[in-house]
Amino acid sequence: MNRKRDKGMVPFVLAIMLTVTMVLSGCAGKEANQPASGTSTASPAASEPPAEAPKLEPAVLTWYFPGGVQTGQAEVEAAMNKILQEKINATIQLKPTDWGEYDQKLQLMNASGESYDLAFTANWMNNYYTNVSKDVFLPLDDLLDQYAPTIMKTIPQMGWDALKVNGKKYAVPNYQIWAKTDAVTFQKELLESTGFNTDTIKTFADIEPFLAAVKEKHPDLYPFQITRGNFGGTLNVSYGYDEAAGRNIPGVVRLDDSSMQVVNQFESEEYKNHLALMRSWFQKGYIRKDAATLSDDSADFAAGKYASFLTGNLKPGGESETAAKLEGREVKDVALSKPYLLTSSIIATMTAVSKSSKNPERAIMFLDLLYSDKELFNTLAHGIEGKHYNKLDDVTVEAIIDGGYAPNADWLYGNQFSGYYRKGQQPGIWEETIALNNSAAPSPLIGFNFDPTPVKSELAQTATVTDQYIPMLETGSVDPEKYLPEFIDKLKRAGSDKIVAEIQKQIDAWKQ
Amino acid sequence: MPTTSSKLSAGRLAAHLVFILFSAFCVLPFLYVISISFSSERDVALEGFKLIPKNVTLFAYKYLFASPTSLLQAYGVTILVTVAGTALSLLLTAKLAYALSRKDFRFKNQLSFLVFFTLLFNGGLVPWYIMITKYLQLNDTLLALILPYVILPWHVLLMKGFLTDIPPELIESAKIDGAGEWNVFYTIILPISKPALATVGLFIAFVYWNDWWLGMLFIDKGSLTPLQYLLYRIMNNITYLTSAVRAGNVSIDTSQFPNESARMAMAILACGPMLLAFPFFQKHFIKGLTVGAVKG
Amino acid sequence: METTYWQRLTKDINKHKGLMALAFPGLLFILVFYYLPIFGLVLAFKNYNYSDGILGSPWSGFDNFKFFFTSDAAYQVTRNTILLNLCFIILSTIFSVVFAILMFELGRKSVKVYQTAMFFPYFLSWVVVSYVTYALLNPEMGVVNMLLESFGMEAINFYFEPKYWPFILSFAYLWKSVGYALLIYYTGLMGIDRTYYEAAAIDGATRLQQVRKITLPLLTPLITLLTLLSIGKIFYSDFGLFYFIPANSGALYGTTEVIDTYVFRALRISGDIGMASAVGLYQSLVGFVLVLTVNAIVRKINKDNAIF
Repeated sequence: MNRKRDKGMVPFVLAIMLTVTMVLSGCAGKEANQPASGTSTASPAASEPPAEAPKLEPAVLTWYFPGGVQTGQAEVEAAMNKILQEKINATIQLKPTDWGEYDQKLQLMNASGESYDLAFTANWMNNYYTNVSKDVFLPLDDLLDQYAPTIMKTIPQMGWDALKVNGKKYAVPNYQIWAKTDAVTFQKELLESTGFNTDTIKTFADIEPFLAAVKEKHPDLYPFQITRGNFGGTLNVSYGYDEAAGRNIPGVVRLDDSSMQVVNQFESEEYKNHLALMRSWFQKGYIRKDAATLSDDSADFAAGKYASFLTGNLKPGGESETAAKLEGREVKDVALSKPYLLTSSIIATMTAVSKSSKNPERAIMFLDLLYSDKELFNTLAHGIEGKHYNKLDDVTVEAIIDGGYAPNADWLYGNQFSGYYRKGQQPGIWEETIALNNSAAPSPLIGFNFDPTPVKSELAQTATVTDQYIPMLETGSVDPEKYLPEFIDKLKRAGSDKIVAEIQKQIDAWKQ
Repeated sequence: MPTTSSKLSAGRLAAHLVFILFSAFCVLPFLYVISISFSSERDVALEGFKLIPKNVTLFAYKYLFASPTSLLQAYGVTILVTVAGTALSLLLTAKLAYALSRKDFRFKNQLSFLVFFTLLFNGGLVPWYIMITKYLQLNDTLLALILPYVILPWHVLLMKGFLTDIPPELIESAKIDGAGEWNVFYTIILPISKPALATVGLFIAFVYWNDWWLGMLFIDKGSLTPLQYLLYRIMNNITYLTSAVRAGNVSIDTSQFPNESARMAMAILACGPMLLAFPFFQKHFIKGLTVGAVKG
Repeated sequence: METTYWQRLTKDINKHKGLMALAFPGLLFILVFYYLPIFGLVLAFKNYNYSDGILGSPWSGFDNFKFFFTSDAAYQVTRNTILLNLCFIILSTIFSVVFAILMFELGRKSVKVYQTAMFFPYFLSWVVVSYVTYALLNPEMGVVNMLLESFGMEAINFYFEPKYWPFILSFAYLWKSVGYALLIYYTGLMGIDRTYYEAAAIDGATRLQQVRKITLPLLTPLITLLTLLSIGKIFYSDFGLFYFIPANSGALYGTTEVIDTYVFRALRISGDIGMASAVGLYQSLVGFVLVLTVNAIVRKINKDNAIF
């Protein structure tokens, strides 16, 4: 009954918060405690030679990114500033903002014109395209050519192609796993106990014998995890599609279709068959009965209750990462598709410069240093040696628990491949990842970005329809014979055809 | 007491029964929450929610208290904001509500309408945010946690509802004796309306205590982080660390991680103290101290 | 002598300057925090972009309203919102008034305990509550289903059966809000002059008669106030209740989807401020008209009970 003031905006606000909180991947520090005192414009060890950067005025850069505030942040900033002051006479203020509010906070800051320099952006957070269309980011082409030689050298052309809007670069991508491969992950122990041979898997449906065996031998486990359904984003590549306008928005292009014809994925044969498959698995008990309504099964997941689940993305070193999430149970990833380069996977982590920045050149120089200066990058990613981490060998480090700084966020920024390996990651996976990236086939849609304004009303309406039907259908909780036609019908009435036509129109125009 | 029937009349007993039942319903989920906060995450995952934890463990609390300084600081901030905010808000709300409750106030209806209008229409988050950060420059200050809630139209109208009962003769006679409006307010109105002040004061205190919204929007500095916001942040980080990562770009070790239990522990830490405040306000719910008594 | 409007106004202000002075600080806060930002309402009619700001962004007519009003769901969610809210208002008023009156009969110590206990739900966020309701209602291990099965009845998949939900939601709403409303009415009861009851008792009136002739009439202004305010908010919903408790189950949308949750789902990805603003305006306007109407009616019946 209180707080009436923002009732009108509550849905909107929560929209931002919940999107992030519920849907997506994330990584934040273990210790989510406040920093000792966030600001530091002058580094404590103020004994660096002033003659190093004579022409540059001192600059203070602010950088917003999602993540938890770490107790050790002040020390890390100080260490970074030492390097920065020497090289570019600047200091950085790190502003990690919690996942749930990053979007909201950035949006408000942009709306009120608050000044900041750098911000994390992606297609799933602080939406890159929305910000570009609202004139929030600075075009970086000239700045990059002038001040960022390392970045230009390191990032392959396809990276830039993916993120250009109207021919201009508005952000710097993080160099890490870009290739997207749909895959299924199995718990190794269960593969052995059921004797299932993963080589027999050619398509997604081929995992069924495993599920049946698990159901028989291990009735206390769930054979397959598919909470709330996730065809889009985890299986669409294996079925041969790239989403043209965004997650679960009607309108995809086949990866092998160079004519780029846009179709509504929900009307496709593949989707229909997929739903029938899910339904049969649900009825056979391979999928948990409350899969459609469960909001949080992370505890079950960590306890190893799922025999198999969708990987999300196949990558070198992924298996050991997953094992860590499963209390050490070993897993095996089996690819369902070839690796592809999708716009969405490339622009999944980028850093942009705000138009309100007072030092854009220095901001770019800083970014370049993150790419070129290993010490700087590793300080940001891991902290200070001895205090926050210990070196296990030349290239591997182990975080010190309670050391105060372990953001686990090196996938957010810089060049992940120049950083140390974390304990449990095999040395060599960086090179393997680069090789994987390079070997992946680009989707025909690379570089295409959809402008939603002409159909924003239809998009809003279809969003509610997909929200309603996808969890039910894609978990097999309801009979697709009845509900799929209903779903498609509602989509059409909400304007899905119009959306598909608009996407086609924009693609055709972009193709020229 | 209005009646002289014995304490244990059937009616009374029935009333007690009803309340015991309903109160139990209200408190039960809370007991679940407490129980889960004292359980280990594994037990919660394997056994589901239970009223009595299988193994009592302080792990969730230990995790939340891992950095006691920040938690204590947050408590300090919130307590300060709540006390100062409630005092200020209660005073200003009461003054305004009183003026609006006076039937002989020429502008009573117009101003009431003005207050009421804001309950329904508001310009949205963005202009309000711009107002506070750009024009009032309250970013990262303690005032940002206090000022926006000093006047909440709902409380004004509620208080007005309570104060309307005060008979005008009381005020008339005071004025005849030569008292000015302020005098009347402080010496007569405030003492009479103790229950109303206590009730609205309690509501205001809850608003300040429970708020994480203002903290989220306006506070960057660690030393000014209010309690609910801190707990909310900790929770968010836990959620991220433990939810299954689909895009598969991250590497995190989440084996031991308290999630459900931490969430519940937070809920306890968050509202515990407030429940202690209850008795403080209830002291003033004195039945019988009414206008009639004062009229003498 | 002719006086202009302004002269009369100034004279009135002067006459009431004591009260004006009392009211002034509060009004100042309202001006700054509520009325100055109110121009943001225009965003409902604009295509907002940051560089042009609120005032400079281009007008877009009724575009922002399209997504809601041309949708199939507009009628359904509006209907759900009104019906469920009406239900809530009626139930909440009845329960809290009855409880307050009952509670007034009891001794102070027990009253304190009950009041505190009944306030617990106020502190739990809907998210936390949803964990508990999920534990009760879910098809896998839900407590309710286990109970049903132990009595030999079939388990109900609550999250796929819309017909139970008006009841479930009403109960959840009551559970959360009764403590708060109860306190308000209890305070109102405290303001009633004891002497009325004494006189009535002397005249031989029964308790029930006392309630009917004294308590209820004197409590009416407060009841009217709260009801009017709730009517003003009738197109708004407690988001947490409608989003988290039904566990976001698509099968229940027909019954549990309200305007606020619909808008949330529709705009979650795009986060379009203009569109959200448009629906907000719609909700505000309808509530506003309703309150004006009801207030006018109340005025006719008893001038003092109206809000303005």
